[in-house]
Amino acid sequence: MRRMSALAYTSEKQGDPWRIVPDLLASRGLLRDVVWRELRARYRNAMMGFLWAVVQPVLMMAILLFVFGYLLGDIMQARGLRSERPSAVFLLCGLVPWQFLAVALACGTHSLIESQELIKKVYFPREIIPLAAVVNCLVNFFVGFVTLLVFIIVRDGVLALGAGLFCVPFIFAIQFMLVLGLALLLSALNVHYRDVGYMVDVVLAFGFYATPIFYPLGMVSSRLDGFLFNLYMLNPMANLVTAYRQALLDNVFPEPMLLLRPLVVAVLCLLIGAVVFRRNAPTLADYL
Amino acid sequence: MPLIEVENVGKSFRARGGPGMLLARGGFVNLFRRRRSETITALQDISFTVEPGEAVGIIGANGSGKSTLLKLLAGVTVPTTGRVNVYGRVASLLELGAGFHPLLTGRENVYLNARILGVGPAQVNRVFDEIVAFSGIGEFLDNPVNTYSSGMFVRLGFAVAVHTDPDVFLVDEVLSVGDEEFQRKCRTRIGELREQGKTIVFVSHDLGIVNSLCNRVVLLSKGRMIVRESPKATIDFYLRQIGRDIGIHTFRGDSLEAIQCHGRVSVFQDQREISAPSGFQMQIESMGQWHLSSGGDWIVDRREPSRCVAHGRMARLPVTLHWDLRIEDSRLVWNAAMECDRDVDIPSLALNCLLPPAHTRWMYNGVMGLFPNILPGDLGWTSAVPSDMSCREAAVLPPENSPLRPVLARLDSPLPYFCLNLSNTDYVTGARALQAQATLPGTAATFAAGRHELLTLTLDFGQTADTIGEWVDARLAQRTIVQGPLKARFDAGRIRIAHDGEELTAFLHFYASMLFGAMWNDSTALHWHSPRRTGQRIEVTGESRRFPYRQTWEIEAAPEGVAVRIILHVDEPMDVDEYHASIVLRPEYSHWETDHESGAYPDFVQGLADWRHANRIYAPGRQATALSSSLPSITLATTTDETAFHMTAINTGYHENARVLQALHSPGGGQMHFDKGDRVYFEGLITVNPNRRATAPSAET
Repeated sequence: MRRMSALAYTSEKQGDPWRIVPDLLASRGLLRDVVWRELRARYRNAMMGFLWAVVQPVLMMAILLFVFGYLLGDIMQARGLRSERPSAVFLLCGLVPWQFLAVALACGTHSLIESQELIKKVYFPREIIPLAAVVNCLVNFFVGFVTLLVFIIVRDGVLALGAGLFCVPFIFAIQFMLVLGLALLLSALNVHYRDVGYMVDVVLAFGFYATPIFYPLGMVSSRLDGFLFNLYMLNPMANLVTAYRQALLDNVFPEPMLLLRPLVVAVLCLLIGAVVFRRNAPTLADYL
Repeated sequence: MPLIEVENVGKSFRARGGPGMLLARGGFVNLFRRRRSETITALQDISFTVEPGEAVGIIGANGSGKSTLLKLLAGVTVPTTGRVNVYGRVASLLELGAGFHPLLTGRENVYLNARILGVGPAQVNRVFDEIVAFSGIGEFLDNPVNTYSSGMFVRLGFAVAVHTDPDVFLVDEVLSVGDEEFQRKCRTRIGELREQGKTIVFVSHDLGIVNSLCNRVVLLSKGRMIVRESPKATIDFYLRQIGRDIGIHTFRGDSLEAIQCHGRVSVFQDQREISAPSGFQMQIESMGQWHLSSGGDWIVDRREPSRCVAHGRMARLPVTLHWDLRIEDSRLVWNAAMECDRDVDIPSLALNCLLPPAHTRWMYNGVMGLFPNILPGDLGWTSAVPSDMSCREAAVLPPENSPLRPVLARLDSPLPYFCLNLSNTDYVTGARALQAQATLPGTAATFAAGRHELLTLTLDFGQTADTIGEWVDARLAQRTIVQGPLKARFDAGRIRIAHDGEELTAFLHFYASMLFGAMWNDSTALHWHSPRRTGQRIEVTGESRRFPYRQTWEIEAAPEGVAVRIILHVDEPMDVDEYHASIVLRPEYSHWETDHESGAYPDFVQGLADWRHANRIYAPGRQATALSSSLPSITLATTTDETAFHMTAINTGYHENARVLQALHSPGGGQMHFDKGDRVYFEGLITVNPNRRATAPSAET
């Protein structure tokens, strides 16, 4: 009877946000299996397998380096927009965290629809699906991050990395909360309004330029006046990317505001995302 | 404590233009205007509980909310109102292979799918081999699932689901996928789970399975729960509701109940089915194909408590069958007629009553015997008794001390071609078949447009083996003349002669035959009516099925024997080469005597098929006698001068192994012309003298 009561299912409790954590803890095995399933399946038929996780960001970096370093670099320099050409490490440091956000949000938003066969037929905590999609992208982030470290070490030597490296887990934790919260919110909305999926693509494309990836934050602060700059800094990724750069490239503790602002946004996103998702989760199957 | 509680559950969906259209109904615009969108109610006020070990069936027409209810139980979605509680782990067989990732191997997917169903790898390891064995995937186990056929995919999914040992099984029409073999396996497995006391909630359109599997049935109609009594009551209600009962009627007598269901009749006695599962139905042969009445489109015309009048349009024949079924006391009276839209060739038709193989004995035409066993090698039907065209009464009997009652059938037909047959069916069907069958000669096989009365079959379920035995005796007595120790029994164109309980005649016994059209036409091939008996006199008429003549035999007791008079009724003029009346005797008869000579029957020549005359003198005579050392002598004598007979003694062929006394009438070249009308064909005496015996050496001539 104890075993049965542990498995008891009551339809009334399904939308209760307080049950998110116990539900997820109870089905952590399922989360692991679903993530593992996606990873194996993703790289099974690719000849280079996990190598793609390295090659992808490096190729992307090479393209950006070519465009902004060589094609446009001269023009920008001539117009006095840039003091120096962006370096490979500089680009990679912006690109790796951004790619994680972009890919995780894109996958997360569509994850429920892609797993609709499962959702329509079996009961399990629905959070698993977007969570698994986001966790999946961690692998790429991790591989990209190691590549970044290798680039830094090759350029500046091992000593270039120092105390700043220890700040990275905190910065990443904030980013992860942000991504997860957004993924939960967007995936739930996307089930009801498929328009959300398209909007996410557009916003991500815009976000790529509204985030200091191929230019330094200093360039924005020098050209935008107070109000517009504050507006720009509402973009949590602008703060986070700059924080990554300060920690990794400048090897200093990031400015507190660069962490505080995205932390507030991330916590809000996670709370709203989790509650909205949970409220919608029990009836998702009706709308898929 | 119930395993599943469903309390006042309602479920409604918002009507939508399509999934997630921002500007469509139910989109942002309406959201902002606070306009309530229309809702569709799928379920309303559903309440029931399922106790552990119960099997609950959910039936209902399409769109009645069956699948929604199952989804609520599975936790896939939640009710709009009310509450669903499930205390235990649920495995739904409604998602065979859901969560299979096409790129992963079968092995990986087994673990993954089990995990989705809530079972960890340790538990899967324990039953992994069973899962693989049940699915029959074999060597494909380590291939990606997207290389599987859809059948393998479903098999693997089913295997995982049934081996995860959940507390509740939800089954939704899974039995309609996969090949026949797999479906049977699924059914068997679900039956096993049922026997193991697993709790099963079963959604199906297959009412047969629901009926046999579930001990409670919930009927949903337009989202409401209608009936939840016994499965039978619920299913009956459902059938009536959806109008399928247009072809179904149940009618009953005191203890007998019959269901006419779309051209198939099942009979129940004291709530037990006494017909075989395939029931009773008709089959019609046309253009080399058998058409079953159960394949037709049936409508019940009259519903009475103990009567059912129905007609069924055959699917691929321009024929409508009309049945009038009545239960009178313990009898089922089945009247069948056939209406043809145009001329149809029907060389053969039958009404097949399939009875359970627990019946082991038969009674056919007054003779009783045992059915052969039905063996696994029996691919077709095998006859239990040689078919007799004249047989109008037959019975199938259970062994003694069986709770089954015998079935006595009586056939009446305006067509001369119907007779009763007894057979074993093939091994798979495994039943005793009591058939009223007609094989029509080519000249009569075309049924003209219009209505044809076929037959009336009376099946009596109220007899006991004893009453049938008495009935057999009485029936035999009806056609037997007893004269001291002599008994002469008319048996379908033959007269069997017995003395002191020992039968003297053999094979064809006393019979008559006519040669015309280069063929001997025996009296045994005629279609004989029931004999009429007055005192010590029997009169019986037989019709030829192929030629325009009839015979009436008058059999009467005479001193030391019986007198036989055969009258020929000619309906159309015919030419006959010759004819005879003969007694076929047991081979113990060794000597013969005629008016002109006497002698011994020669030995039988091995392999010889012809009949050989033993006498030399071929002149008209009056009588012939056969003698034996162990049996009474028997004499065939003519008592009329109107026609001249040659009395001869003949040996039959080697296999028939019998002696013959024959009264042959032959014009001696040329033909006899019979005009329309009646004529005496043969008139004579068969006498038995127990005192005359053959004394082997001295009787030698």
